[in-house]
Amino acid sequence: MAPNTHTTLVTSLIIMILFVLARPYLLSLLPKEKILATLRSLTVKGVLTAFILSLPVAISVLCVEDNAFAFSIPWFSTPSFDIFFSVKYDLYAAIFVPVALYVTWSILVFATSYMKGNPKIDHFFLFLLIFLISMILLVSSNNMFQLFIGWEGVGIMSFLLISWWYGRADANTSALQAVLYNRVGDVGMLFTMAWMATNLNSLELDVLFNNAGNYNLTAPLCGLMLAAAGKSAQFGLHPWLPAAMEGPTPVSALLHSSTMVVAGIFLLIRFSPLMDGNQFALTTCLWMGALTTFFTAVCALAQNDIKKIIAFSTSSQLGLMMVAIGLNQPQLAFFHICTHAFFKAMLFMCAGSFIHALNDEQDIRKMGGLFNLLPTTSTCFTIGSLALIGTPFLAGFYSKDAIIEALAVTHLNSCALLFVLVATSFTAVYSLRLIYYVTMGQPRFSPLLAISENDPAILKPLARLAWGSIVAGLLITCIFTPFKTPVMTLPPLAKTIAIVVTVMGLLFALELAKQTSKQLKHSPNPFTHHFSNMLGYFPLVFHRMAPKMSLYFGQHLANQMMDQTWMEKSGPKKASNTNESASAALTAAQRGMIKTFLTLFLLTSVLGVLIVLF
Amino acid sequence: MLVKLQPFLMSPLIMTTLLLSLGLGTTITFASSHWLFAWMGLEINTLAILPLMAQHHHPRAVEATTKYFLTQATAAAMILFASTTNAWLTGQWNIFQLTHPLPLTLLTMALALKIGLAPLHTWLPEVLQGLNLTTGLILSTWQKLAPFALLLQTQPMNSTTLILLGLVSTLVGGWGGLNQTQLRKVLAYSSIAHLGWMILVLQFTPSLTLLTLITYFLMTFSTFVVFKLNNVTTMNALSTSWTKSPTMTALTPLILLSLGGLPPWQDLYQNDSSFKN
Repeated sequence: MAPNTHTTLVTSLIIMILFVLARPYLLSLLPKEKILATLRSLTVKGVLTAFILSLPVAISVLCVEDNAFAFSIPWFSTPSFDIFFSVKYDLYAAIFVPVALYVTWSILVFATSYMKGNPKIDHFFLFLLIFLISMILLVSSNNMFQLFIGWEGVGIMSFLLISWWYGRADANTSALQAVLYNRVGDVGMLFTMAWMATNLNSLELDVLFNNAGNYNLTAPLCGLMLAAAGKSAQFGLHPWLPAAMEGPTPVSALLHSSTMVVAGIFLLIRFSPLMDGNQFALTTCLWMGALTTFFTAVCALAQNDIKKIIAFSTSSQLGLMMVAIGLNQPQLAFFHICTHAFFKAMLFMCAGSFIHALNDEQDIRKMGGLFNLLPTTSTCFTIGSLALIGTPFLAGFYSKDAIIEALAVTHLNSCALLFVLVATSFTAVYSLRLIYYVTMGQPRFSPLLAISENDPAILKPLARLAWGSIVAGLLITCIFTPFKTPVMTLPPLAKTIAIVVTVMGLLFALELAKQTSKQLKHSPNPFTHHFSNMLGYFPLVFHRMAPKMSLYFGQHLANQMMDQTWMEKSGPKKASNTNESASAALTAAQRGMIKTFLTLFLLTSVLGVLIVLF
Repeated sequence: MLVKLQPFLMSPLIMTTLLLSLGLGTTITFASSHWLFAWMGLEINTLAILPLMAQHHHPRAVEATTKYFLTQATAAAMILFASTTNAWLTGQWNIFQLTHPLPLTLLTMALALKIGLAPLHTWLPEVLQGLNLTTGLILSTWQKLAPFALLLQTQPMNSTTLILLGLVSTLVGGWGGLNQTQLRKVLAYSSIAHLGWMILVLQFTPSLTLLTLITYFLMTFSTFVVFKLNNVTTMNALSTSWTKSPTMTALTPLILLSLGGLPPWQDLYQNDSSFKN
């Protein structure tokens, strides 16, 4: 088809998508009571329609030459430059939006059943809808300003959704944690925006990419990496992600596994042409990712909450995506984003189904034997876990194996490689641990629970995402032609290193699982277990240390150095203190004794004579 | 303490004798050019005021009298010793020609003790506290004239001594007066401070010293009289004096501020001129 037809089709479809998504929200603003009750189904249908409409857009984007559509409308102008409302629907956006909409649709159907008892369920759906709109705004923007609007939008919705059950103190603190850590990242984002505004006089990404060669880009890239570290929970800014599991399971499934946390990675993917030549930025991304993936995989090994384990696995996979960016392979990172969305959302939904069936029990030590009681959910759980660890030819394999292969053949620090491989083996270990505890063995919960999974609103989304987890990898590989040629000839060990390491991890985990019914040591060695269980003591130390340092410096600088020094020790107070003490000392010398007078007279005379004569 | 609120408790004849002797003593000192004659005038002065001080017969007054007598006697003896030493060293008794450093220093110290300069000031607050306000007034004003006459006449004096005496007096007068609640002690310290200024400027412009002395007399006289009329001797009593005489209480700050040296009153010019010189 000619480019003009494509353009018309795409433009009209995008407008329709936006309308369809916004319709429930706009309707909610009307004061009619009965609309509120129908919002649920409106939202679900809206997202489904949007998904269907986004597929032709994606196909059109693939057919067009540059693989992109872009338009910009002038919005407003500041004294130095103009800000546009510009959309760039390139390959990344075009593939991500259908994936996100598909996953969101499944999660929304799941949420109609999961949140059924909640009286404010329609607000919940509206929040999810606003989040979705912000996310689409983020991925399609060609303009830092618009991107920042989407960025902040997803951050705010994350805050509101994590603290959904705001009567619970832990939920509130977790939401605050999320906001604070994201805020730290936002500083980097704002710095980059300021750099762009001052140096390039524009916030448009096109302008940036055209003029990038003239500048030293280390500073804005550091800002972007900080923003990504905050949003995508890289090491140092990671504690908010496990804490965000306080929110309802649909929130965890949508925000904190598939869409919001990948916003940081997506940002770096968008700016990858800039990172191409900057070795410092690439190395930093590589190390940040390697450290994150290793550390969070270690933490996941000894957690007991099912959602926390899945959260840490999300964090680990985000580290892997960051590693892919650090290898200068943004397309592989994007690929992993898309496949990861499917199986991670499914894992969360299965966890939600388990939790719901066991009457809100989240501790895996109190689950067991659910394979016989909840077969469909357990099956989907297993499929998701297998996809996660990179079982050949499931979805995760195509992206994960590609990243690790690229890691094995790139000329880089082998310590980073080691970290990633160990983390991959740990992925297998904790996945097996999850499946072992939850679905196998004897039940460890109360026998009086009415366990069922008869709700089609739970089973159908699980099935859809299970299909996605199986075929998505293959589909995306078929339609993408990679920008960078992958290395085709490798030694056999390098080619299969991911599988080998995973299988070794699985065997170790199976061996450990066999030992749970034996007692080989009379007392355990708790050191490593405690390190892993307490998340490396990171939140424990830093959440206390940062406020304490700030308050301490505040006291010292503001109070003691400024106020006390200038007011009390040297200024007015000093004067008054000096005078008071001098006065008191002098008057204390007067005791009414005559010998005082005469002694002073004698001394002064002698002194005077001595001075005069000598 | 049941004290009769009369300034003088003795018969008019004795009072006349004492007051005239007081005047005689100072005048003799003014008119003298021989040291013995000056000393005699000072002694008559001291002896004449002692009964005035002790007229109320209560222990505090007697204590004040005793202390006053001892210090003044010491000072007078020292003056005699200094002039004798000068006579021995230079062979003459003239007041103008006491130029040898040793007797000059001794004389300075003695005169400082007589008028109450720091660090020889310790007797002044206690003595003044024991007197009633009228006698205190005489002590603060009239009794300073004779020693000052001698100070003005015996020049040149050692700069270091005078500067030290003056500086310490100023500081002591300021700091010491802060910590008081008895008004007579406050006035004693203010006298010490003012005398310090006068001594400071003595070596440069003696006429300025005289001017300062006269203005100090005026201000102290006003203050003493205001306190006498309100019959206040402590700060607490002063705070209720507005009920007794509101107009005078309204005008008292002016006197006090001029005593403190704030514009646009005289004392500022004195201090200012002292600085400039």
